[in-house]
Amino acid sequence: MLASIPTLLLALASLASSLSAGDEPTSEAEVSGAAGDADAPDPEPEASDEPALEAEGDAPPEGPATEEAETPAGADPPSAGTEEPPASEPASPETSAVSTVSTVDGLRPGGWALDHPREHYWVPNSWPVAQPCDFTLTPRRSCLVLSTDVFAGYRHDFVAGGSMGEFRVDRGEVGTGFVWKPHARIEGGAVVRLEAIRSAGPGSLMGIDGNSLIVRLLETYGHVAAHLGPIDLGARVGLVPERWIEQVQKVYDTRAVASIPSERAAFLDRSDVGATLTASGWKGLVELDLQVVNGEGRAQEELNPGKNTTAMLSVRPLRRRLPKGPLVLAVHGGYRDGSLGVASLRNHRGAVAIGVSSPWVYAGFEYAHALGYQARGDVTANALGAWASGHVLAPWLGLMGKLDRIQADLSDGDSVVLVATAGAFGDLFPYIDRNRRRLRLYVVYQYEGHGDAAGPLPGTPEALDTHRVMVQLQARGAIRAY
Amino acid sequence: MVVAACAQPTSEHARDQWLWHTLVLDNQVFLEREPELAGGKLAKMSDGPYRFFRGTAAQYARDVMEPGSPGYWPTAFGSEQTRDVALVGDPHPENIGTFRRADGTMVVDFNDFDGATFGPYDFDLRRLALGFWVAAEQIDRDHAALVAMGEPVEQPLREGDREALARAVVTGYVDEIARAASEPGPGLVLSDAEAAGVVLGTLLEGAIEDGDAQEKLEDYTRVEDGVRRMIYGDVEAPRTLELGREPQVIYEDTMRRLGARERTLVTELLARYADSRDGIDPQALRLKGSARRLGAGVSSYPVARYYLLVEGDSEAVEDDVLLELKQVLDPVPMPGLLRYPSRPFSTNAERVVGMQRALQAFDDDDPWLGWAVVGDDGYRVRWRSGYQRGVQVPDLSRDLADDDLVPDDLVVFAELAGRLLARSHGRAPKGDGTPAAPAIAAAIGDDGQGLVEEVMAFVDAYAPRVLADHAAFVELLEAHGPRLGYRRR
Repeated sequence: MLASIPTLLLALASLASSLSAGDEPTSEAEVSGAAGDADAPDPEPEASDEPALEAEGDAPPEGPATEEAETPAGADPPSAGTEEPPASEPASPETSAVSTVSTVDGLRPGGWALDHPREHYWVPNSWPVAQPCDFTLTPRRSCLVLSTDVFAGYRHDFVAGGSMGEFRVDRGEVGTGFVWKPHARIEGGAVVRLEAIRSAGPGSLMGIDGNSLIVRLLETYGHVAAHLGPIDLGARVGLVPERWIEQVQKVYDTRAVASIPSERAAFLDRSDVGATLTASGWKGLVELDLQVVNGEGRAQEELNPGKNTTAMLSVRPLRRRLPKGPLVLAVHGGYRDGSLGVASLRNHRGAVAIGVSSPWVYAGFEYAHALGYQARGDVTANALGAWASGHVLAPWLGLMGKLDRIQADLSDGDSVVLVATAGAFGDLFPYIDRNRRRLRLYVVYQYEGHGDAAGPLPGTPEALDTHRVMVQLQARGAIRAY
Repeated sequence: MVVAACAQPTSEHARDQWLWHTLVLDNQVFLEREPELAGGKLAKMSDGPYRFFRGTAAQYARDVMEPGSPGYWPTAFGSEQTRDVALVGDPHPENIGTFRRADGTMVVDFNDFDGATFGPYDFDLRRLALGFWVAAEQIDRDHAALVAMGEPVEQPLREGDREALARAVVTGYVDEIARAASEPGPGLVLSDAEAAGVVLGTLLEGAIEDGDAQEKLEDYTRVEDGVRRMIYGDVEAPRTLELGREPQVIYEDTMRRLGARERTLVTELLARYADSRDGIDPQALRLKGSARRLGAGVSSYPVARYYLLVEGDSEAVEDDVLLELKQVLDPVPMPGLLRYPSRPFSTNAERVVGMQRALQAFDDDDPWLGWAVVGDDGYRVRWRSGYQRGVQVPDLSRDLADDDLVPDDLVVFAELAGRLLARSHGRAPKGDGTPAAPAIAAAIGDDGQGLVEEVMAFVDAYAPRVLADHAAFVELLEAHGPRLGYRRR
């Protein structure tokens, strides 16, 4: 049945083409340009700022592997799509090449971008509106992207009168994605992304050969996208990323030191086996995601006949192309009907989030509500958090702050965990799409306080508070292999 | 649809689902590897509340460590210094038994350290007190069954005996930990049958008898033509339970012949075992026979357990040695608990043996204790001898029914068990290497009675939960079969 999906989409695309002859694409370049316009607030005067935008955008050449696999880690605002030339003004590869090699803040686009100058028009993480590879650049109808993402550093915890310092690798990921464009309005491809994890679980003393860092699949899926006038449709099947985390992290920029509240509280897992359908209207202005997955997350096979069904609506009422980069305001809401394990435990989720991203500041708020938590179907929990981060002396100095509050049992006022994070960071590179190139160092203080009924040692007040100092490096990059 | 989906399940229904879910997860490794034995374990747990209690140490850990759980019960007697005490992990009446040291001295001590780890001392203390409460409930039920069959019960438990047993555990603990803090040394040593009370005294005497008679060797080996050989087959016949219209075999005591792969494994394990202890010449460890033992334990029923017949000091059959190699898995997790340092042992087998030596009165309680690791699998090695004999709750039921015990003997046993636990906690270094007894004694202060009442409040509140869980578990088995509806992949 899956094999017939591309055929069906091709048929739909042909039908749409015949119905909208006015904007029928005549070449791949047009299609690509239209797709790349993902978050542009439809033809605006800023379009004339293209040279500057191009350089700032200096967007990553990531394939779906990069953008999609990366997104749970902190996806970029889809508004980067504003760096695309308007669909009505498809640029030829030649003219694009001239403009692309210009510099901003002394930064020159690197190797692949010079070879494929229009690649920086790429819209970061705006699937299914746009794909990472701009097929207008070459006669090729396919591309391959490689990416990697590392969070590593040193942390020192002070808890219950004791302290412990350790070097850590909190994330080690590598991904690849292949995209193929068989038709002007259709793309498809595959993504494989691996992650490193400790082989022993949280409560486990021993893992493989002690407690080794081992590699496992984080994501692996096939995907297809079709572009029908103002509507972009996409489907993914396999071990797919959790769309809520993927979407909300587009307006969250400090994942290297803390996850968003719904992920921190383990309300959601980063990926699961299933399928996602996405409909995006007017290049990201409105997006509807439907997701059906097993519900057991990455670490477990399906244990019950029920599936986790999620519906999520995203609206981006503000999308501006500014000289330094895109400005986006996004509002999200979603609900999951879920079940867990062989006993089909109630495991529903509801969540709302709002956030803004810009070249200078990221800020946002998320509230998530759990009906059924930690394998207890009768427990209701919630998690909320607010964050802000931005440069005060770009790119060398930035500040970040985040406050999370997780209540593991709403019937018990003492079951609260409060996490406050504050710190400074510095970037090696000036503002640039973070998926493509980032080398950022954080110095962070974090306080984690447990209510009387939330700590691991009930009744032992000294064990309720943890003070943590972290020095964390985020290193990330992506290249287009061809 | 959304309204229906949001409907909150009743607490009892949600608890049943939680129990089902966690039991499957905890036993998934067995359900996948050896579903027949996994089903046997779960069926065995249905026998009664005490066996259920033995098989649900992980549920206990979740309940006392996870916020919002029925066992999450704050203590006023904990401190930052008592969070990483060396724990037995799963102390309960049937995990107490006899040992014969290298010098021939007999001692009573805890005998199962599969769950040994570092954590708050009250985790163990509450578990032990709860264990005695549930054991008393089991004895009551055993007696009720006897009465129903028209058999006499001479010494039935009295109203309040459950609480008396649990209280005696904590009282003994409080007294002994104070003594251990003020009088450093080996602490309580139970080697004299006279001083060990009726229950443990009888156990000691029986162990000496069994040991002298080479009971275990006689049970599992035969001497033919002057050569001792392992026996195979049922030492005790298995039984079959019908669970959810599905028959489930429960092994009681069966010796299964090893295949080629397992023979290679145990040979390699035996060769590596010598590295784990001094005084053993690996060349001298000549393997004369091997088998897989089925039917032992409750929680560890599906775990690989091999019996190895090894040549003794001479060629004579009289000094042959029977060793048990038991696979060791992770201890019961304590959700949310940070451990500093987090990995004090390189393998689970080393953990179990290292902590057994630290927690027992003498590190040579079992002179053959050691470990061996092949690949990722670690095995604890111990001596199988009649000298090592454990408390059995069914024996206590029968002895009470036959007037060989009175309920007060059980109270004495419970108090000694509490003292043994305090001695173990006090003797073994904490996770940070410092002594535990002064830290625990300081946390209790001069309000020992307060700790007794706190633990009793926990037991009174949580023990009925264990009984209700057992009843729900039996229903789950009836509804979903002995593998709880888990489909092997």
